[in-house]
Amino acid sequence: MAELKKPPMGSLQMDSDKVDQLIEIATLSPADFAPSTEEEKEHFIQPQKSIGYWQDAWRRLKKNRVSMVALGILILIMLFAFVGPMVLPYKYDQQIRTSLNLAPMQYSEAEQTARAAGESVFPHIFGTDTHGRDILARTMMGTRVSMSIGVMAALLVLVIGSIYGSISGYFGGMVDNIMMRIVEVIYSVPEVLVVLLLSISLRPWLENFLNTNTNSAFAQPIRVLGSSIIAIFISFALLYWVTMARIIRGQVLQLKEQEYVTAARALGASSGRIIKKHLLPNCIGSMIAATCLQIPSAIFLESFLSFLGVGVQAPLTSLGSMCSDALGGMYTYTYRLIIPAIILGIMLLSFNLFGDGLRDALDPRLKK
Amino acid sequence: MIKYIIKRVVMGLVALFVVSILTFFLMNLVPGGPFMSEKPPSPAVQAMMEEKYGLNKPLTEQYVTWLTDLLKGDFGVSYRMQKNRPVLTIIKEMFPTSAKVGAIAMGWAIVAGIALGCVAAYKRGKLTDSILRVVTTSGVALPTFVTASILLVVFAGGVWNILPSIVGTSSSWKAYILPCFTLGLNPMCNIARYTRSAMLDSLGQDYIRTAYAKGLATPFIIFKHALRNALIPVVSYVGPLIAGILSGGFVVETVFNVPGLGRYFVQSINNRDYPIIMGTTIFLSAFVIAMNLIVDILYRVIDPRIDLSKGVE
Repeated sequence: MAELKKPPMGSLQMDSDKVDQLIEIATLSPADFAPSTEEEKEHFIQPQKSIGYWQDAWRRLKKNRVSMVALGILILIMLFAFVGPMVLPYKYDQQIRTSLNLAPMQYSEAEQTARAAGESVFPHIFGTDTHGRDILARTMMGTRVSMSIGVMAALLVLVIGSIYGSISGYFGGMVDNIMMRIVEVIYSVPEVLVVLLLSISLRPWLENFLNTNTNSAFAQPIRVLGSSIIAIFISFALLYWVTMARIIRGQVLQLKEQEYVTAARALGASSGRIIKKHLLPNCIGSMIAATCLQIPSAIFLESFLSFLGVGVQAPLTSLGSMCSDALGGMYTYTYRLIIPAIILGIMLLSFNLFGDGLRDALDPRLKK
Repeated sequence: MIKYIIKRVVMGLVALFVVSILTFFLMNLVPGGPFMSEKPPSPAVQAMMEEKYGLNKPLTEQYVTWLTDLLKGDFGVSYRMQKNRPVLTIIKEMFPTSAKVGAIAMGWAIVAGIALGCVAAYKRGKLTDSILRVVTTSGVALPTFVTASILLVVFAGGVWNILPSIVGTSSSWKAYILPCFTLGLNPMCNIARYTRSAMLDSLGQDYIRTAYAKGLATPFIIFKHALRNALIPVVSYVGPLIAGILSGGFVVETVFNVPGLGRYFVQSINNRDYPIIMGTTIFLSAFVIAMNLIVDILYRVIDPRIDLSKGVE
């Protein structure tokens, strides 16, 4: 009889004893819902810990020795630029009339007499310039200015580029077509010329603005930053976001086909919410890497402008304008040129190498 | 092909138009007008001047006049640096020197860059490759003015005094060594990096293995089979290279006192000679855009695998 109950091969009907087993499983007693004992828990521990995206990226980054060295150097430079001026007794714009044109580690006569009298005088490690300003303090300040401009300009590019790129990629079709044509036009504009033009024509305009609207809400930041830095930011906002927009657009084009976007749309999420909550957080890896590679290009541009004399204005200084100032007496005071030039070179190199490593770590698919 | 060229030409013209609008309206942001000097002219004289140059008309009308003059080849006259000389004459006078320095720099950058890239790819993973990688990475990261000033200190006075530091109108060929070398250094390093990765790509292809199996000589394989195919992506870099040479030119010409258009442009900025700034910006933009266009079209002619009907990626 039992054999008769067995359905023929390939039948969709279930084995009757299997059905019994299933029913047995489905009838659960309250004891089955009791919390597991410690012993049971121990058996359940996964053999390997799961690793999140950031941990994974950090692990990959740590393996890249060049990037880690670059990161170390960047941290040192940051300490130099942001902590250094607090420790140093000299200010970057403080002119010491008695100690003009000192060589590195040299003391002026006034300082020598003070030292002879038993006072401790902090040495001018890099010497002083023609106005008696301590070059170490100026280098620190210049590094700080260059670095801050680089980071802020890169963040500006990030914001504009990711908004533009995600809108263009998400809506696609005609919108994408028009927006990408605009990007192509901006792409073919020779940016150095326009940036030079911007930085010279904005300065008098901003100064005029400052003089007429002294109490305006915009006047304060402009006065603090100086018009030339604002001009650099404006040129970045106008011209340099196109690469970022292209990267984000490419990512969004891929991501928007994913199921979770369809699911979100089916649940009635608006386009803005999908972009904000679903698409952009998923491009974060390439966003960070591209921003990090944007920083050296911003520092590069700032020092280029300052070197040509249209960047950061005195008394504020930057590494580029220090090099430019030193060019006059470069044979007598070579170190004044070499010191900022080397710091700038190391900083740019480290940012580039670290950015490359970060890109490989955060976005392993891009690695070639 | 034709469709692509037309599309690119239209794109270039639109870009140039954008540059011209930007240039014009940025210039007019500057308060005070172009005739401001230490002693401002009397209102009557100023009104007369404005009448003469058409500065009392509305901005849009001024722009149209400026643009039509530009299309006729009239770039206006210099206000300050070379009073009342036509800007176009000045550009014609200055540009050949810049072009000469730029062309030499580009020439050596391309030749040396490709050669070093080939060496690095062939010696992949060896000491030579590592050394070349360090050199090219630093060369790419260092700004032109840093290398320019270091070279100046080393070769023109600081350490050895073997090369002249400035270029005059009647200088010998020696004076051109430093500026051309400096200007080409950054592009050279870039080209070497591009060539290396392209060569590694093409050395791994099947046809290279076939060539080895046939028993061809190694130099023959490298130069005939691998390099020819590796050069195609390198060609696409020549467009940005021209723009890089241009921006490097400003610095190099300023540092080495080369009497070229780049240095003159920087001087005109510091002198606020607006017609020269505007004229030079338009001229150089047109030059860069045209060069990019030519390079991109050539690139597509060289590599028939690229589909012309699709857009630029």
